[in-house]
Amino acid sequence: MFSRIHSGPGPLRIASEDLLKAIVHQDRLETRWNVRDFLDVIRLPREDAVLELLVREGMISSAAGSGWMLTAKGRERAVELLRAHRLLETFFARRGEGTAGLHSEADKAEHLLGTEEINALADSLNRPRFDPHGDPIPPRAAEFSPPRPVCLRDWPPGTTALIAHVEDEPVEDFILLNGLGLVPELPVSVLGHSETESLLLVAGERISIPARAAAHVQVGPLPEGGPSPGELRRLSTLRDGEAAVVEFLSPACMGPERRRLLDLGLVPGSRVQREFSSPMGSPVAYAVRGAVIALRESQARNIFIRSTRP
Amino acid sequence: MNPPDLQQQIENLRWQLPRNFHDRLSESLYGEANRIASRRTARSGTSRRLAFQRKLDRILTSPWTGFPAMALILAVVLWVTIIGANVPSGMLATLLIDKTQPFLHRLADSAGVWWWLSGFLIDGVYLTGAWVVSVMLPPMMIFFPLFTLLEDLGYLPRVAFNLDRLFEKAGAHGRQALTMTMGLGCNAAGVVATRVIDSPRERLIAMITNNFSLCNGRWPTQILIATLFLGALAPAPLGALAAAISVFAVAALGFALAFLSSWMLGRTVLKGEASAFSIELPPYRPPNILRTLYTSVIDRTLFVLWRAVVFALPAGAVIWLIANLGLGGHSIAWWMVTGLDPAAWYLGLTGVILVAYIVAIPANEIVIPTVLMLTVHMAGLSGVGEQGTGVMFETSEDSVLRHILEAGGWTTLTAVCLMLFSLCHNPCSTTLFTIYKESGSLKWTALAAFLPLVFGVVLCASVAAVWRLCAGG
Repeated sequence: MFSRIHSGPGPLRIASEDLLKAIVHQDRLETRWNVRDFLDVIRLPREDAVLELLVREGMISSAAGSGWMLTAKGRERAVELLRAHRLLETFFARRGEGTAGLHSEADKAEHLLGTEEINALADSLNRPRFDPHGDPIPPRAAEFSPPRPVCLRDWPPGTTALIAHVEDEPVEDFILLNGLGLVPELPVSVLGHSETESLLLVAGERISIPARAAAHVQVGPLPEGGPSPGELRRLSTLRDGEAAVVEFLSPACMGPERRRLLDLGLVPGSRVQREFSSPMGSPVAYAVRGAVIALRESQARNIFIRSTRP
Repeated sequence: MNPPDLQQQIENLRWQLPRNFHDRLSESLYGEANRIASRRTARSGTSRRLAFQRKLDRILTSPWTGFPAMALILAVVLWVTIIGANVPSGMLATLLIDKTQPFLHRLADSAGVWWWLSGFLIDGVYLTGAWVVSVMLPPMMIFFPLFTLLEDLGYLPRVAFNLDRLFEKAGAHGRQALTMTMGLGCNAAGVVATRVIDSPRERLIAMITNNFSLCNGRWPTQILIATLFLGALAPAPLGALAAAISVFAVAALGFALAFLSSWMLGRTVLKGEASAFSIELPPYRPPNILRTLYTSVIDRTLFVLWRAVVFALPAGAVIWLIANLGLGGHSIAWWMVTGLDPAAWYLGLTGVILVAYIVAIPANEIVIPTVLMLTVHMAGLSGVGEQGTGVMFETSEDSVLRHILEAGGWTTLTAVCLMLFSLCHNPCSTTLFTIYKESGSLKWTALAAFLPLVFGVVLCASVAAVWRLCAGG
């Protein structure tokens, strides 16, 4: 039904699709809304024309009383747009492009794809379930109920958690969080919160996150049987001759780089030993599964290990 | 169960999988492989070889001994190449130039071929081809097998390992260390070698900057000019040392410029994130000599030589033509040299050198012979270069050489600027063609041609200006 190729959608269509995406993003699929609810996240140059277009296409209908509601068709299209956006982000990330620019790239490209192309993209990516930010990608044409994570600021101190989502807007905060190594699927210990910051323990390192940025991080409970945050270290903290067992590779390491590391034998359960380092300190040579491989410090930081000694 | 229900069930189950189940899959594959392997393999203690490997690695990669060892190994390889190539080069030159060329001339005379045709074909096309073969073949036959030997021994990955930090800072790939060392043998081979770099961005950086590795075709020029002009500045017993140090300084400057230009490219036109670097450090092992010879001779030497000859032949024709075709009472060469002289002055060079670099684009090897030919041609010297006008030649007598060059207006400044310009000018056409073939882009090929040229012009012009200022000129 929407499979025609939007070759160069007009500004009106882009605006209408942005509105649909804002609705699904703020979880307003089933509730009544007004355009001004979204004005702080999107810009609508011609509000009336946008609404008229959506009514004409049967996406929205006016709600009883005041405001608007999505129709069944509108809900489907809104979820599809979200699906396109997150698939595109996954696509760009796997191509090995940096994570900071993903969002805006995907924002541009999502308006160009029809249903068939979105499905083809999902197939070519091997139907991923989560995007690079840790958000679930809605499956095709099925009811979508995203898991509901909790904001990091509200997580009880003194307990463990798994990072579920790192919001990619505003970009400055995202870059800050990325620089601190906070990525989805990372097990952390929450040490405490204050007015100005949240304190985490990640792989043996204390990390202080400014309160404003911490508000953009969402967490969930640790899955059972997973590694406990207290035992984790980064491979880069090993000393010469010291050995450890690989626990997991950081989700921040993806695409060809991740495959290469897995191919080299850096899989969960492998024993690694630090052998020697290069004259300038990085890279460092590690013995893994009978081979000696050299990794840069930035890569070794992405490999989480558990010391073999108790 | 009907299909839509089944699909829904699959969808529900997919969301119950742990997120990292792909990693768990790799893990179980390794575990299973391990289990199968351990059932069928027996181990007997730890070998003494392992301890030896460790010790060797400590020596070759430690902060104190790693770099000196690297410099020493590189110096030995280059020394063996340069010294070892002298004898076979001389023999090839005797055979192809001293014996075959006069023979061809006699053949042409007895067949009554017009002088201009035999001159064009024998003194132009044939002579240049013969020159390129006799000067290029022996060093490549020595350098590439030695290089492949180091690769086979397991030493080259350690070089990349030692230097990676510098490349990381420059935003380039650690394996560029390998392609740069390869470039010391031949830039075209160095450009082909960039295939070991996966990331297209970093591969382009390695290709474009490879020309800053002083290649085999330029080492002789550097050594000759350094010996004649810079070595002569020092007292006699130290002359050779002074010359060697100045050549080494130029080569080191090349490495520094390669880092600088890589860094510049990585900040501007080839912006992007540094890709991951993981290199396997294989155990040291005895090399397979036969395979080493085969790969280095067939894959590298003959491949590069063939391309060089193909490009050198038309250049030979052009060199002969510009010296023999006249325009208004002077040869084309005269007009070019005279026209370029004012510009060359600012670069501390001479018009002759610039013309030689223009017509000798196909191969750096023929720059010095062309310079000699043009100098004699311009100065109308008698008693040297009697083969006739427009015929390249070389002489083994250093005093004669210096006499010719000084007659061409050369000073110490000319020598210094020539050494710098030899390091920083456009790559030879063989290398350019190889860059085009490998990158598939005219744009990057053009950048690879002009980037070193700009460096060279700026470098020579500033050296010349400062020199003249200090000399009070």
